[in-house]
Amino acid sequence: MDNLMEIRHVSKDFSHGVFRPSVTHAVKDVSFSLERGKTFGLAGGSGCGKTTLTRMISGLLSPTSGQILLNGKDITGLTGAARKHYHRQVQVVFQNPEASLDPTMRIRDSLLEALEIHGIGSSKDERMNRILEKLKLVALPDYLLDRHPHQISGGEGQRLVICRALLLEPEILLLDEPTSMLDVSVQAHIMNILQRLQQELGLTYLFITHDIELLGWISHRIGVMYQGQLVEAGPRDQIMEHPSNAYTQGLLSAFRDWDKEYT
Amino acid sequence: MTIRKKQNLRLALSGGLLLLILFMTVFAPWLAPCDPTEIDMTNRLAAPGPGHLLGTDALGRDVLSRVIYGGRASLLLAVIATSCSMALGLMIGLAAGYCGGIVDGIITAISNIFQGLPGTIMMIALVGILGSNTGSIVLALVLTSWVGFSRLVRGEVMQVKQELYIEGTRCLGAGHWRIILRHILPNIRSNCIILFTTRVGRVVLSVAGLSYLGLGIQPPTPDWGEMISGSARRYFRSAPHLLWAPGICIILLTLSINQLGDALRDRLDVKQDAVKEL
Repeated sequence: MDNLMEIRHVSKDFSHGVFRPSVTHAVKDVSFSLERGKTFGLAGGSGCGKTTLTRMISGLLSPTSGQILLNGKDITGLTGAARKHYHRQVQVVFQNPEASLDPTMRIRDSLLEALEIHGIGSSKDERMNRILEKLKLVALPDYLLDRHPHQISGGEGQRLVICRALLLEPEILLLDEPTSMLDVSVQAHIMNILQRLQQELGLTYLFITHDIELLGWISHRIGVMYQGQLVEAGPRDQIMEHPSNAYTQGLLSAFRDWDKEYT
Repeated sequence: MTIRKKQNLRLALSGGLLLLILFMTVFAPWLAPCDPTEIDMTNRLAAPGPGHLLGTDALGRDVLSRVIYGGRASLLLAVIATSCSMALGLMIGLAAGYCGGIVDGIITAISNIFQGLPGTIMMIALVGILGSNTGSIVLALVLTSWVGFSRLVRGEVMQVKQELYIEGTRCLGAGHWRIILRHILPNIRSNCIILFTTRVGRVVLSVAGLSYLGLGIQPPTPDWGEMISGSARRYFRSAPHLLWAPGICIILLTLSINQLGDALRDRLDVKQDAVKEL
């Protein structure tokens, strides 16, 4: 097994109050690994710590304890050039596409910025060529480039954010509920694009969502989080067909009952 | 659409009025019929008439020329003082809002002290101690008004900082300076412009107030605030024409600046714009 990223015993505590601090254990001793070119799906209800975990992996938060290893190197607390290099390898796609793009900037400038930060491409023409090339990968027309974020649809926005991530040619994409704000037909379209991109570019995904059925469709391995802990993890078929944990069973049957009732 | 038209009308009216006043003050040397400081003791307190359209004051100076020149000193002072206090407030507010934690705590404590001091009284005291010159007036104005800017900027920065697009840009690998200069500043720009315009209006009033007390712009420099006070106070029963023109100018100037600030706020609100286009 070729593990690109390893999450080792990661915990995050938040303390509130100065005089009598109360501590919330948002993430408790979570370990799993991302296999190169495969998708690890992380499921869990709201407040289970999956967003905190994404923020730690994306470098926005430092874990209280534990290690996050990329190619065997710990990435917690990176600064300067090392942090920049890490972000080039690991890109994030957030839940809300419109909010992920600066409202005062045109789409073109938001995309160019990713290349400017890393000094990719020597001239503006060269950078624009890269952008046009990646736009094709996510099946978007180039006239969107002149628009502002509030002038595009959710599906277009999410594909633009994916496009911006791809500009840096990362190895890992963190997908934090990338489709939960979109309607079902658009969701299917994005999922198809993500699957195609994985096959063509050999990307590794960490796909985070509350929708375990969606994970069943895209993941190779699945982990289930509950109250900050990873309660179960394993190959897709095992989790989907023979879950051993009571919470996983509940999560699956909730979706399946819903299916029976409404379809 | 009608809301937009109404906004545009307000913007055009207030902006037009302000431009008119600015035009008048900037081109004063070409517009004024007489020298505003030329004293003519044989023609004191003349009523408005053909020779002097707005009459003359207690020293026989032409009131119309003094009104045309009278906005120069206080407007210039107001713009300089407001720019300085905005620059200071912007830097302090950015530091507090962006760094948070202990930096924010210290800055907020200092701001609270400054906000607790009565502005006008502190201004009078400072100018009284340091002497009435441009430097000390600017210093007094900056010291009493930077808190307004830093508080607004701090709040705005704290709000913008946790937006997803800031985290998204961090995740692209952007450094703090890029985040501040390219993303936070453009997103708080419209509120800063609005605050700037309303503050200029208030500072013009403060300067007029100081001049009224004899601490602001010193004679013989023509100034609207000084024209309402000074010797005019002694003659306003017999020669009320001395007060009307400069008083109206101060009102129109502050009114147009404040209205422009409000109109700009309605017009520059990007999110409101987005709702309307949907």
